[in-house]
Amino acid sequence: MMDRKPAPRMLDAAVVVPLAALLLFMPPFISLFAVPASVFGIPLVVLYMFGVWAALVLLTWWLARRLAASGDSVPRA
Amino acid sequence: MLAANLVLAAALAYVALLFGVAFMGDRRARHGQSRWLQSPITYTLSISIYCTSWTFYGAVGSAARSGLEFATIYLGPTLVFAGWWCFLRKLVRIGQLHRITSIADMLSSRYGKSAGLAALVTVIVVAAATPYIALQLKAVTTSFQVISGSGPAALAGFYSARPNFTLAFWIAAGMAVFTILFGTRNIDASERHPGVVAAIAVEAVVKLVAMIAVGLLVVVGIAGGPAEVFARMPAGMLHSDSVFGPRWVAMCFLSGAAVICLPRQFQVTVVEIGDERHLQTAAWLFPLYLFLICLFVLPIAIAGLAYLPAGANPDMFMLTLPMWAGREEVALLAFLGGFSAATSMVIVAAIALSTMISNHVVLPVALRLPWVSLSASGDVRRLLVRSRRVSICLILLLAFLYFRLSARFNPLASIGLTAFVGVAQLLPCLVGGLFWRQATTRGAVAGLAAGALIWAYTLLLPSFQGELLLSSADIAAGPFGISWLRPHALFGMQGVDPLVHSVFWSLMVNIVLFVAVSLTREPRPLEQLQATLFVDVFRNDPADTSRFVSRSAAIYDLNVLAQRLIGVDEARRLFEAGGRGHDPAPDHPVADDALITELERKLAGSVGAASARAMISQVVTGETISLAGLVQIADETQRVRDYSRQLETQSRELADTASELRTANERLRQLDSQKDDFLSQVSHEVRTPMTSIRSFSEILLESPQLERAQSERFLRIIHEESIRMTRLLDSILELSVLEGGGSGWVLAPTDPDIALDNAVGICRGLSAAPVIQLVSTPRAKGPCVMADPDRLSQVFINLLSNAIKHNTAAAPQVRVASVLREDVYELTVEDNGPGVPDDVRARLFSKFARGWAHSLPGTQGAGLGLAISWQIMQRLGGTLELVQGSARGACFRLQLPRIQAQGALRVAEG
Repeated sequence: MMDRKPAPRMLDAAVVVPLAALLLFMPPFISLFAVPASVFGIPLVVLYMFGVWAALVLLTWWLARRLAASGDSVPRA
Repeated sequence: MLAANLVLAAALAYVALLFGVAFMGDRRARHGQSRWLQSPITYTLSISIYCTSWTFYGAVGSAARSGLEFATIYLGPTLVFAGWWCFLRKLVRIGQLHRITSIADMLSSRYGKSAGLAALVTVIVVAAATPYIALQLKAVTTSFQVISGSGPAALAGFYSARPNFTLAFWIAAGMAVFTILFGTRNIDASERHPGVVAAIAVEAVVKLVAMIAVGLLVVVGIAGGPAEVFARMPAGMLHSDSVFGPRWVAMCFLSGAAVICLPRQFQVTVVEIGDERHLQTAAWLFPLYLFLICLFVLPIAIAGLAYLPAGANPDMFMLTLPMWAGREEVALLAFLGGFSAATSMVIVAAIALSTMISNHVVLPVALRLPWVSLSASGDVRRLLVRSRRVSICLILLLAFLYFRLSARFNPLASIGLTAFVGVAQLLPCLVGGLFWRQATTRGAVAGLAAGALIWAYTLLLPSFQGELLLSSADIAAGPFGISWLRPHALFGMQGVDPLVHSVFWSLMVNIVLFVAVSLTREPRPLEQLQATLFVDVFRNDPADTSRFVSRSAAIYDLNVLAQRLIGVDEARRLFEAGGRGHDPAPDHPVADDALITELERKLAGSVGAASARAMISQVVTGETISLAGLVQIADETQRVRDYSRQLETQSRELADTASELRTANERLRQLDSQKDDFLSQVSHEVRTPMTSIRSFSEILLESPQLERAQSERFLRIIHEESIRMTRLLDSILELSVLEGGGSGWVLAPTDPDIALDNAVGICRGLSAAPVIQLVSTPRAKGPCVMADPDRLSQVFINLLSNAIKHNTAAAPQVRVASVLREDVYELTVEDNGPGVPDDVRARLFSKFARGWAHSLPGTQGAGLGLAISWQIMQRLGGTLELVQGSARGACFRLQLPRIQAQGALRVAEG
């Protein structure tokens, strides 16, 4: 059962992206944005959190498509 | 407000719709028309049972109380799914390959198929899930009361009113019926429930739509824009100092652990997955779903705090806000959304828990009880189905009791978090099991048990606020007044949030014990095998298992066992497939390892690995696990080394074969040319006598008046030439017989010196002139070699006659010396003739070489003598060679191995 391997940098990205998002969601990063400031009336920290969230979804979608192209799958046993 | 009957009718209609969807889903799956059911979208939607009524109502409540903290519950799962490549992919692959039926089965399967571990996990998750299911009952009951109530009490979300327990009971009963109908219809090999998955996918859509509808109503309809909503935000709601502290980190971690370890999440993510590739879609689609669910939570919470009367229950803002705004249809939709969230969670959780209880508690006990008969076909299936139905009822009853007991306190979120900490105890041994080979059953049990006890002591029991086991005084001051045992300040750790406190202590003790106990002892063989199969799941073929486990069982017994569990038809299919390539005939009544392994895998698919192993063990004898093989595949460097060693050996073999082929080819060429030489030599040798015979017989024929003396001379020549030709042909024949190895010689202990004396006597008559000088060591050697005396004489005569005939010296001399060495008899024959020319030396012993004969006129002999002698010596196991003698003449050395008869040797040396 040798799967065709995706490009190594894609594999690394699949690990790095969630780790980076984890860092961005954790203090002290997220605390930096917990200031009484707003953009268009929406608090900065809310925009930051949902922004990182949306970016993560987009990146994961892009990565999943690239990784899926490698055809890594086995039929149900 | 809405009439209670209308709400009830709506709820019932909705339930009827779900029944329909589940029924259709089951039917389509059975007929194989499950394209929509098998899609990655359905898979992702089914995972969204993560969002229960705790999300639907509780997230808003949590946001109203502690701002952004609600988001942690969704950030953890988002990160876990975004990191699917690292963890979930492996989990799903293992689940598929090993036909895992639940999280308890996963852990027990990894840890040597331990039944005890499976039971322990089952107990922990049931303890953790009961409050969680109770929470759903509470949410549905309260929401029903709110939406069908009226006046300020309803708008306040019935904060202090007594819940309607009758209603809650009937809700629980309804859920039990639905779960039993669609969750325990069949015990099939795959343990999948397409109907249920279809229903919860629909519910996932309903709750998302309801959430967004209420959100849009609030942001657009009530407040008039996002900025306006946030303008009404109470000061400091988002910026309290404690939000992004340890509690934030702990909750992100807990939610991430929960989305893996919660029994219902494991059920939909790993067990119900139709195709591993669905995970690639869920990896981003599920985070997107969570994102959309969370988007309006904060605005709704702010609006609730701003518009509703002070003191209103924040957990019910989802309902009370539309009611306050007079949008009853939105309120009804929100109610159905919350109802969906609750029912889908309860149904899947009940299925997962009942599967675990039946597989890991009921069945192992039944297998041990002598009076429970499980011998007839289908008995085990019946037992499983019944025990699952009973456990579903029991789980919901338990949850109902918990709800009654704890109804007066605890907001929704805190009940959910209690459950999260409970299931998070499974994480260390799950992660350790997937990535750490050394993890053992004892380590897992020790870590789990200790972690669960600390969780129960620091979080679960205190949540009853003194009503169960621990009194209020104990919680405040510690049991028996021992202050360092206070549940919320263990070992004097004070000033920490109770949740963080419990997470810290339970998981730390859990991990430390898990690692430490694992390191105390080597894993047992079965643990090692399973560890290798799990850790190296992407490298090893699971079919290889049978390579390492060797055991035997009668086909008949296996067949009976299979029929008991998976039914007659399925069993026959399995054995027919398993019998292919083997021999299904009755004279081969013993099953091979591959068939036993396949059956165990099949059984594990419905009763779990531990029970399957227990059942197989009843009919199997002589199980051994090859540790050497395991170590070999476990060690990466070992694998690489083995591989390169194999390559080296192969290339060396190839090189050897090639050089052998080259040598053989060279030899064939030589033989071919020798054959050609031989033929031309033979023709030449035959042609000379033939020519003289022909010419002399022609003279005789053509001259009848020839003198008698003349004709007699001619006839004598003809006669001599005929003899010479016959001798030549005889020699050729003899040589070919020798070369073919075809003659049957009788080898006997022989004294070579007697044969030598014989030969010397014969050769003395050849010529008077040469002096045969015998230089002999003491003669009485006795029979010291194995030989045929006549053949040996033949060789000696040949050597001596050559030495005499080809000797052109003025005073010809032949020196013969024999000596008996340590292990050989050695004879040298040396003459003082011209010696052997260098160019002849190499081919001296080949046919027609006649070394130095050509240079001499009138010599006799066919030139086969040396070739024949050499062949004879070969046959006798000796050697014949030309060596450098003391003079310039030729010197032949003959060697024969001594026989190892001790007596003969002693005589010879004495």
